[in-house]
Amino acid sequence: MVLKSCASATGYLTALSAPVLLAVGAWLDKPALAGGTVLLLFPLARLAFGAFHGSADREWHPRVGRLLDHLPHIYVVVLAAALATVLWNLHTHSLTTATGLQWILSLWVVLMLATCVAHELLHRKNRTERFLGHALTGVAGYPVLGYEHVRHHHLRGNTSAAEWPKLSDSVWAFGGRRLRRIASETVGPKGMAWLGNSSSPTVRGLRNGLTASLLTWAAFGVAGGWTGAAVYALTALIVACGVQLVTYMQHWGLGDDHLPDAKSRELAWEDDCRFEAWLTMSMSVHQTHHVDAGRPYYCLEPTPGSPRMPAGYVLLMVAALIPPVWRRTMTPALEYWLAHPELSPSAGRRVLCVAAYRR
Amino acid sequence: MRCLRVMSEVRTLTAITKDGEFFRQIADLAMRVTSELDAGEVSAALAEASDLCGADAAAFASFVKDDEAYESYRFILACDPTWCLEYESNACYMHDPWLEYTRRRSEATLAKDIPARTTQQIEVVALARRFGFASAIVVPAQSPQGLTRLGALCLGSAQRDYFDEQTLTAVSVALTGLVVRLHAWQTATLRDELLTRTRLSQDDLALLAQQRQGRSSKEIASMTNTTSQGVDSRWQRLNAKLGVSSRATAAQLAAEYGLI
Repeated sequence: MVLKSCASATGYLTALSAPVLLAVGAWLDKPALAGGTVLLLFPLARLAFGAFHGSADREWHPRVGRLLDHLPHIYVVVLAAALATVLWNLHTHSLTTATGLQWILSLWVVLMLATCVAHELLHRKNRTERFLGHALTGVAGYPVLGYEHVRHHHLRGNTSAAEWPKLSDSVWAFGGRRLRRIASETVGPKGMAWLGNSSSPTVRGLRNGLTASLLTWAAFGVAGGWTGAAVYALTALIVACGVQLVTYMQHWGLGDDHLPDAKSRELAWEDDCRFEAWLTMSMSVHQTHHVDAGRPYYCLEPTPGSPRMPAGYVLLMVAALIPPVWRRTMTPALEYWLAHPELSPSAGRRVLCVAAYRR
Repeated sequence: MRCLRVMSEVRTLTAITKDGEFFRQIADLAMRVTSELDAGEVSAALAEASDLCGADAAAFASFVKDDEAYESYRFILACDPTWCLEYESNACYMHDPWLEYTRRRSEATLAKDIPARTTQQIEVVALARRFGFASAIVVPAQSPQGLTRLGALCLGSAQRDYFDEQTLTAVSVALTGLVVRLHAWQTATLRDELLTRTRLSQDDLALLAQQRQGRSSKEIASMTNTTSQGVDSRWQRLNAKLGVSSRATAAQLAAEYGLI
């Protein structure tokens, strides 16, 4: 039983692949390795691993369950080692514009995925794990994630508070609106980072994240000089935008501007790609997460009848950046789900299932 | 919940607190709040207390001190429903400086003495002021035995200086018993909800109690004539029932809800 349970759990080790690739890239002086592999090869993994059937009913062997619980902790160590390798590379190699851009690409991809692990830790009930989660959001360059995410859960379906995008929003409009709001509430002149009370766990978490960001930035500055600091600063900026991009993809068309019962249903687009669930610690099974936010990542499975994405995250990220392409891709999927709310078509092993929604 | 009361008979709070009958009536009311009452009856009792104090609005909040996810927050309300809706739909509890005060202090205070500094805190206070909390008193309640569930009663008046320094002590002394009873009622209700939702057995509760006493799987196994692997299996199922990822967290949760 241990072996069977171990075999099922092995997939979640995929979460470690991005920081490992980053470290290998730094070691071999191939800065684009992590970014290129995750963006170009990982979307094809669906062909091999197919659809995710979940593990909600699976009873993990206690030892395997404990290991899966500790995977985010292991991830933090692996990421720290990977970033140390990058710092060593920046310290020993001179940075050109081309290599700088390649580092930004790889760091962005790895740190975006790090926010998934931070997200898992932030939902834990244990105070130390949440502390680690906030620190990880800071290292990932988006220290306000802890506050932003709690707000997101409590203002579900709310388009006026910029938690769910409006149907008419482009990612640029939504992302800009949301970033302005969150920045003003957290690090604005009357933001909680400066004026909040430290007895509040939210304020403590925010300050912890900000400290981790500053320390990481300083480490990049020390290792790579001004250019190193600039690489991290730019990466952090793109991570902040990337988080908005993902939120947009997960909730577009499902807010209270379009669906009257959106606030009570916590609707989100889900992707049933098995590999993606492993890689993102089940962030892709997003509606299920919203319904039961405290449930560990390895116990999540897609909600029957949830709206399903017509492609994986990487492809949809590109589509979202070009609003006409996004609408052309997503409108049929939204209309299909509204017409067949009980059906959840699966792309199986196909990378795209856009055509299924056009029938 | 009830609508904002239109005061037909204006009586100062000083006059109310000088009347010995006021303390007896509040104490009687507190005694009536038992775990047998349902939410509506407790809300009615709160409204009655508010009336006895000549206040216009009352809200009792209960929450776990370190709850960053704001999932433990529960309210008993006797105030304007519009305020309740606004407060809930804007997740004002995330920024409420009066609840924040309860996290760090245990003595009653006037709401005007609690600073609102961030933009959101200022908005939350402004909203409360519009709906019957122009002046208010906050009476916190702590949990015993190192548990971290807190309670706070907020009594408000539409009159700006209705609650003041002169009457603070008298009102807080009168209300403390009621606050403790409301806190106990809320904790008992949450405990019953958790038991119903998770269907914990007596064996589960015993396991949680043993963890709380710091016993390892091996020790529990030898006490219960099972294997430590069997105990680990039971923990796995129990953690899944409670939606937590570790046995220490499960035991803490059970203690917070008064299960062990």
